[in-house]
Amino acid sequence: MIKFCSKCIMPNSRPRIQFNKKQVCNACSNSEKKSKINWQNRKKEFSFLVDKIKEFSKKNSLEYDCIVPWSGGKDSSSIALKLKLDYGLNPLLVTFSPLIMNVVGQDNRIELQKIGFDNIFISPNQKVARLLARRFFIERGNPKVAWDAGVNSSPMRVAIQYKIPYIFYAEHGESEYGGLVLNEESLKKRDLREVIEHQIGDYPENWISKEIEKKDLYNYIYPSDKEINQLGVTAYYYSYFFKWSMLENYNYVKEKMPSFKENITGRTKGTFTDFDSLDDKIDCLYYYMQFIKFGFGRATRDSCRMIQNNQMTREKAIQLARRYDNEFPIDNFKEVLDYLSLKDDQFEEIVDKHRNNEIWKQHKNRWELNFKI
Amino acid sequence: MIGLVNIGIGNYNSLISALKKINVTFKICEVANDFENVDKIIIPGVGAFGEFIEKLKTRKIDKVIKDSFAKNIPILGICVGMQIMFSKSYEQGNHNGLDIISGNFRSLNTLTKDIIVPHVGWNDCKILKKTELFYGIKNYSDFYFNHSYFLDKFENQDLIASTNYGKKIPSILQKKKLYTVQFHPEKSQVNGLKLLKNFIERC
Amino acid sequence: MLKKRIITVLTFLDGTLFRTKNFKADYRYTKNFIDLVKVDEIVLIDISENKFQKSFLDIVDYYVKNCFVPLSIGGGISDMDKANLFFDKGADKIVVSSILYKNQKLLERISKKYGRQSIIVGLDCKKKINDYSVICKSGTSNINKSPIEIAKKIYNIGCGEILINNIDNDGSLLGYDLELIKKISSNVNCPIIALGGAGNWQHLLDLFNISNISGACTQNIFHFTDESINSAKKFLQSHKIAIRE
Repeated sequence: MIKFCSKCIMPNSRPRIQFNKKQVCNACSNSEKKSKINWQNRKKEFSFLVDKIKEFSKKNSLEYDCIVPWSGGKDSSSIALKLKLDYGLNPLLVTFSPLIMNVVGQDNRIELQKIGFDNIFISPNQKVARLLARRFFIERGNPKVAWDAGVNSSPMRVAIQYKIPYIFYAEHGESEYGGLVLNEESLKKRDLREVIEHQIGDYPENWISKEIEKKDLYNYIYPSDKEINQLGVTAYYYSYFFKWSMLENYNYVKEKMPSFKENITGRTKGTFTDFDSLDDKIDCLYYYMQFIKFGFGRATRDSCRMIQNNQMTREKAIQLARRYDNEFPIDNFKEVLDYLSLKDDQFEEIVDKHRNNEIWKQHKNRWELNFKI
Repeated sequence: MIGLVNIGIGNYNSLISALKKINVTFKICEVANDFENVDKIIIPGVGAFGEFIEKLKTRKIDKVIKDSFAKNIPILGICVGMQIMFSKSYEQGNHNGLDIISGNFRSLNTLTKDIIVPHVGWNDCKILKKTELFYGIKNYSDFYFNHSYFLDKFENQDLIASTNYGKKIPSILQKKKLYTVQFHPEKSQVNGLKLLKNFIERC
Repeated sequence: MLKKRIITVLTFLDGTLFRTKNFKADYRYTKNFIDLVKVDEIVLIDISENKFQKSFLDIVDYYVKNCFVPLSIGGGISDMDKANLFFDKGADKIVVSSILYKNQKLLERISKKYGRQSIIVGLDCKKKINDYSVICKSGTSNINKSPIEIAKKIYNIGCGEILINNIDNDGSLLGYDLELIKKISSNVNCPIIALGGAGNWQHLLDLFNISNISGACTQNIFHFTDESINSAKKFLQSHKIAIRE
């Protein structure tokens, strides 16, 4: 039985989301808690941390103070800019290449680098990347499983290589958007168990097959506990120290970088925004599959975040979700199919196989949602 | 027409699914009269020896089996369906089987010390004598076993295949047109379905 | 020789496939990607509050029809009728709760009719400071007895296999509870299969290497496709574990 959060509109079909007795999801509860947090104290905590980092870099003669996993989007860019401009740190930006690069994302990265940042851009073997994207699109309705592994392990691997023990992630997804928080400490520092379980869901070492050897998986396998502990790497969530808001991040970036571009074709398919998650052409498909598998699409996702930040009413959110969630990811569709080596009819078959009978029913040869928000 | 024996014990549904999968027409035989027009018999079996043979006798199917054997009608006995064809079993007491083929069943506990009982899982069959059951199936192929008693005394000439569990135990025996398998072909995936097909088409 | 088994465990809540974490339904999935060829055995567990609903029984029918490896079914079997129901549907084995150590008569009845090897007893455990205790009712009720004690008792009454599950490891992807498994398997001569925590193939290897365990169960949905099972088996074979091709 699908139920919706009484505050935002996220359904209980979202993996790991929890509802309290009042049917409020944990993302909403968490955002309420956010307003009660003494952000001044958190800011002070952050300043102490910054001093500690600078001291460490000086003592160890490090060129870079910290690592920032960076996509070029508004969230990671806002962190990079704040760390540099507001706190005088020298972050090393680490990027794991999108599957199908989008011009907008690329341009935004170039623009930010003009302000003065070093970037390590990791582009993995495309033969393997495509095989994995195809495999997991078919098996799990998610073409970005391997990419998730890469984007998670790359900053850690670079940190170990460059001996930089501090990493700043953006937001803690599970608490911000609805999921399972393993413990309180994990809101501040990234818990490795959480990464395997929630971010990737699997161990890349398991992906060895006839076509893929262990050495092909180097960019996806998370560094060992031993390596991480030897250096003493800690990955922090920026959202622990500063109140997280997607919209505010966007405004901040626009202010510091007026050349930051939104979606050139206007509104992104599947949602009402034009400024979020733009650097991979496969993203529209990724979010569309979330809708197929769990019944909530990109519009739901974006509007829930805005409700939680008091930037939208629930009624408006429902309107937008009903209107845009089901939108077919037509942008760059041919390119995506080609990347996955699939034909149109194969694609449709795979999509339908991922429809859960709890959420979908067939009516006169068409698929319909079992529920209405 | 294949006759599939059902005496109300255990799961013959697996066999039904398997036979349907290999496109075989069959009829369910629950009492002696059901065996008219049957020219091949499959006896699946789970459960205890004693209870199984009692039920066979109540429905007078024991006589049908003995007569069919005499008439050279091919019979396939699976697991307990195999065991009851023999002379005796020491399971929960002392029971007499149909004694069509000679042999006694003893508990696996007596085989080696600390042996894990039952013998459950996939184990390979070493073919000692050529058999139509194994046509197109590689020697040492794995089949699914799940039993606590094993055939102890038997006629060597009847032995077709053995399996290693601590020591060698008989897994396939044949006497004239009677075929007995200790494992479950209906639960042994591709090789199991092949074996069933072989019994239907080649035995 | 007897091969080690890789066993897929599927948990269903009101007819929808879920993976669980600490015995709570966590991530829903669809059964369209469950491999039925390379896997050695399949276990279906109903974790709904109201069991024996049509939604679960339809699932059972589907697997009986399409699955040619052993199929075990569990969830709420508390009397002979319920056991009969699943066997009649086509179960090869049933999975029962360890609370049945109190109900010797029922176990004996099932044994007599279907054979003791048709019974798998689920031993759900939780670590408490220094020792383990057994729990039931989906992890909500503590039986207050040690796993070894219950394992021995039930094996003596009559069962075919014991399925050990550690609630804390469930869904963790960090490996099986080897300490618990070693303890039980070295104290009883019953075939043991283990569930709870399977993450990477090394976890499976560790399980097979430290104990004479019969089979590794995984409830991890990422292990259900034939590619995954194939990959796992190749890995184990390369480390000299006897496993079915």
